[in-house]
Amino acid sequence: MRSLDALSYRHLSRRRGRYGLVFAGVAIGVAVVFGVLASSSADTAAVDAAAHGSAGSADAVITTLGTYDARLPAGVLARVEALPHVVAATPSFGFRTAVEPKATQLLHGASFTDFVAVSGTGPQDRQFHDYALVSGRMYRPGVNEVVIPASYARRLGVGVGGTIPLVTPLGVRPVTVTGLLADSGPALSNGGSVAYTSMAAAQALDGRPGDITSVEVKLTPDTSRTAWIPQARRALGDSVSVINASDLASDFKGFLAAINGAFLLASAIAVFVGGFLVFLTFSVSVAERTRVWGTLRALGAVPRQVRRLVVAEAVVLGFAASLAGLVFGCVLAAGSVRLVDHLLYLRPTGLGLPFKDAFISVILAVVVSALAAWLPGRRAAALSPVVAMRDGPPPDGTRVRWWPGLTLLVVGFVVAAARPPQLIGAVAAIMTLAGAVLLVPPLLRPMARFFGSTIRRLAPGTGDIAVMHLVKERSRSSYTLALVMIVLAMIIAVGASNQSLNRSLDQVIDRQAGSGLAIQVSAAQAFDPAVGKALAALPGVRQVTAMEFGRAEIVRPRGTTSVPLQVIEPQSFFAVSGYVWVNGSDAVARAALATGGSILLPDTTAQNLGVKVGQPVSIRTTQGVRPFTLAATYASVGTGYGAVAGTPDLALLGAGRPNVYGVRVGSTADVKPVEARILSELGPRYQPFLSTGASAAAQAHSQVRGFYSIGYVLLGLAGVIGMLGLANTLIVSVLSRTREIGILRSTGLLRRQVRRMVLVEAEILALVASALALPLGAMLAAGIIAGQRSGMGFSVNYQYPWGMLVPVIAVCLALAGLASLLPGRRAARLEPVAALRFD
Amino acid sequence: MAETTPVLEGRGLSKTYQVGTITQTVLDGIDLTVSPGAFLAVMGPSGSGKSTLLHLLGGLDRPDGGEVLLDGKALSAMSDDERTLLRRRAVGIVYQFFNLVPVLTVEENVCLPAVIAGEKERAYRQRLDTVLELVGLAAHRDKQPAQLSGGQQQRAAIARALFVEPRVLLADEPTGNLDFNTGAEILHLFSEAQRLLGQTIVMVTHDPRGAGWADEVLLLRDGRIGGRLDLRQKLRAQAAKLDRSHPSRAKAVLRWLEQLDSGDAATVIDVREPAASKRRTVKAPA
Repeated sequence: MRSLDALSYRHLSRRRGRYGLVFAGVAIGVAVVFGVLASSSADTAAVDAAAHGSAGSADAVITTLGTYDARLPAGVLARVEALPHVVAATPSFGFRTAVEPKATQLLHGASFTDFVAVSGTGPQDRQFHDYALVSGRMYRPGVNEVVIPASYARRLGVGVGGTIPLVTPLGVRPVTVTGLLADSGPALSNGGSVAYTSMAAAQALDGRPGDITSVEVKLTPDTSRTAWIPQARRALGDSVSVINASDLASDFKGFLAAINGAFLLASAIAVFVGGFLVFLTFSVSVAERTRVWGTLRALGAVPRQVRRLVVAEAVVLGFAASLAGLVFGCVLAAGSVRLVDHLLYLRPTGLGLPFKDAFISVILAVVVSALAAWLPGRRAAALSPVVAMRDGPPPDGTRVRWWPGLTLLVVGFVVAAARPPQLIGAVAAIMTLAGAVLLVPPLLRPMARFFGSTIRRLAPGTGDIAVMHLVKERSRSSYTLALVMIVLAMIIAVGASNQSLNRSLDQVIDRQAGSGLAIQVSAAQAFDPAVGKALAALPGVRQVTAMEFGRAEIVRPRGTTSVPLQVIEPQSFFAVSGYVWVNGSDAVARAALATGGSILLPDTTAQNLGVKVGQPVSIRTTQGVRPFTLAATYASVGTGYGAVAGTPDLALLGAGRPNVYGVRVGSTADVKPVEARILSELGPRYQPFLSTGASAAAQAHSQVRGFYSIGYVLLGLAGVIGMLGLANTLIVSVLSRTREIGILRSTGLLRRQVRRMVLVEAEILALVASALALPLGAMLAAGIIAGQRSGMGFSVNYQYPWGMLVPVIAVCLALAGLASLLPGRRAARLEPVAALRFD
Repeated sequence: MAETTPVLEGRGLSKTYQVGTITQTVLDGIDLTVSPGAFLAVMGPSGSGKSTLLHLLGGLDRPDGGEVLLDGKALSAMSDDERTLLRRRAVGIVYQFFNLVPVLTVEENVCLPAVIAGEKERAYRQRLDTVLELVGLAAHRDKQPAQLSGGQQQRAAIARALFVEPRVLLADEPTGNLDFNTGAEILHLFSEAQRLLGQTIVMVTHDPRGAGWADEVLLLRDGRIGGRLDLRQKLRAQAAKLDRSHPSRAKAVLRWLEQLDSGDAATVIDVREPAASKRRTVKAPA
């Protein structure tokens, strides 16, 4: 033996079974963290690649304000080129449209990848974008020719030389595919549903010759983008939007970051639970080896050597387990990336080789393991060498106190409920959990007795012994119980947030979709205003209202915030659709928007901006920055919600033709026939996408379900770690009571009674953990929902998942029974004579 | 020239424990001196403070009053780390329950103090071989404690204590967990260590037969010194008393004393009155 550290390895290999469970727990924790980190990196890379695909090597993009078919003012290109530090500027004309389907079909629930972004590029475009053709050639200027991504071509079933029937305001126009792009760079724009052509061809297809929709700018290398953009805004006026190229898709990145943040929180819980398992096991292991520590101290080992020995064991274990966890984590990450890419319509870029994430996960596991073993190590180091000469373990002199746990719990909860930033929120959540853990020891005795009075009837005699053990071995029982409690509380909390979100989603969709009596008709580009009259004339239609969607810029003292924009017809809109009001009413909104100069905002956006109803909000308009009065705030679920203005401000906000019509029918029986009539009326010309409350709700719920399924998988894995901890504790408990079991067996306890005794102990632990998890889960849910409000921009009304309780507790009891099987069997198989000899 | 300064000295040692609201005095003003090469047995009934005294002498615990001097250095003036380092270098301890580390082999257990001190193996290899030879465990060096008998485990513990070449070897009931014959073997080993190595030994025991191997016996009663006697002298007096009534027993006592002095004791005898006496023979270790 060269050094004292060798003793750590010997201890680890000596108790392979026990440390094997801890190994599995830590490995799962690392897998979860690595899976989340790697998938988060991959998804962020996919978004970055898409943004980069759009922007190419541009430093800034000058684009339109207002609705999708808005155009840049005439002469803007010359003004941009005249700006200082501009090396090159290229104009482009883009519009959103659809490919005519092979057969007329009813399309429900459109996403942006169902549309095709046609991008007409200017002559200098090649300086900005690198088009990597895998086959064919580039398009010729002014001709109806396009190049499209190879994957999009496969989706459309078209090859080089083939034609695509493109829906345009002038009717369906065939365009020839002359080349296929590699699925990288520009091919990643608009989720891969993109077609590149010359600017002249695009303008002709959309019937708007001479219009441009954006100008990409390349600056001199020494120019600061952040400094140049305000100068450009001043020079170009307020009617255009000047965007830093790296801020493209920033709102989408923010949403993705919030989702990844939520997953990271779930993985933090898995790590916390894994760390707890290490702490629990090492606490027991250190207590068992009291005599070894005392002997080492008596032989001249200083306290830090003893402490190091314990921590070294944990570090070795954590490191080895983390390597195993990386393998499982890769599988998790691959699954998660596929799901998130699918839910967010991202073009998957693959996992790659996430060395940084692997490194972070391993370091995290090692640090958490070392920290978790620090306290047991300190306890071992603090042992007086005199205890080595005594027979039996030292008495547990730990005093049980209420106040530290209660203080942490209350402070953590109060901070979390105050809607703090994400990081402080996470710290508050950990404080709440830690407080709850510290409250378990003082609560264990009364609760074990309470539940034990019922449970022990299942196993007369042995049930009493089980309760006695739980109370006597309070510290070990408490920590195990806390482990199970945390996992259960997190599952309940996530369930509560899921249920609350779904319910809020239903309320919002039901209100916006007009209680199942409304049909939303969306066009890929824009409707002719005459379409409204045609829709109103259809049989079964009671009311029609036009809507224009686009983007608006809210000007704040410290910069601008880009938000979605919706312009509605105040007089007709509320008869078809509406909002779930947080502060306001249909009447107030109708009156305010009808007179102009007012807007509605999602409650979360208003809160983030620090604006209250009645206060002004500065918005960049085609005539400069103008103050709008916030008339009302509404609840929102999702990312497509923003400023809502009335038709009097249509031109001011750069809004053009309507791209969505809301249609109200007389009865639910009219929905299907009216849908068919709308399709036959508009189909060949617009290829519209129709949605009703039911289809919108189904689509939204499917997306929510997708995200929560990842959360549940992560928590399920944390649950597995918790059960490993329970099994571990029961095994240790049986081992430490070998002699006692021998005495009980020798005095007539049957094998099945021994098994039942262990089972009762596990079930009481699970029951007490469930009882404590109910309020803790409620508190954590409040924190998670507050986080969803500030992080993801959802207005969610809290709802406790009462329906989940019975199945969750039943599963917990069943798993506890399962965890007791092995230790129970081991205890029951002990021969009395052998057990009595056990030292 | 022989050493004359005491290796170990206790001056007015006292120790109390608080058990709930009750203050229990375990040691009360103990004075003792242990000369170099002496073998002192500390005897007394349970709770008389024997083990506590041993803990204080070995620097494992601090006295509430009084002073312990090891080679003239006061232990109470030292920090916990300093006492630990001193213990590492100068004190060997043998316990009733062996206290070997179960996951280590005999050899690793014995050299554990050197490993703790961070010594290189080549620096202590020779010493390790010698001490394993001395205790008769050279053939068992790669075994783990669980593979050894109780006596062998205690030999390993003694080897570990001797390995550091301590100024004083402290033993707390070293035969308390062993059968009669094995206990005698262990005591013989102590005697050998004293005779061959000049090892200073302080042994706590409540077994008078064990104490018979010591030069001197310190009797403790309720935390105070109840007496101090030279056991050999007492045995000679006992032999003289038996000479007339039971001459053969008196001769056996004298013969055993000679064997003890020569370090060649092969017999343990009971020195009680003949009616209660019982002769038992044990084989001396190789």
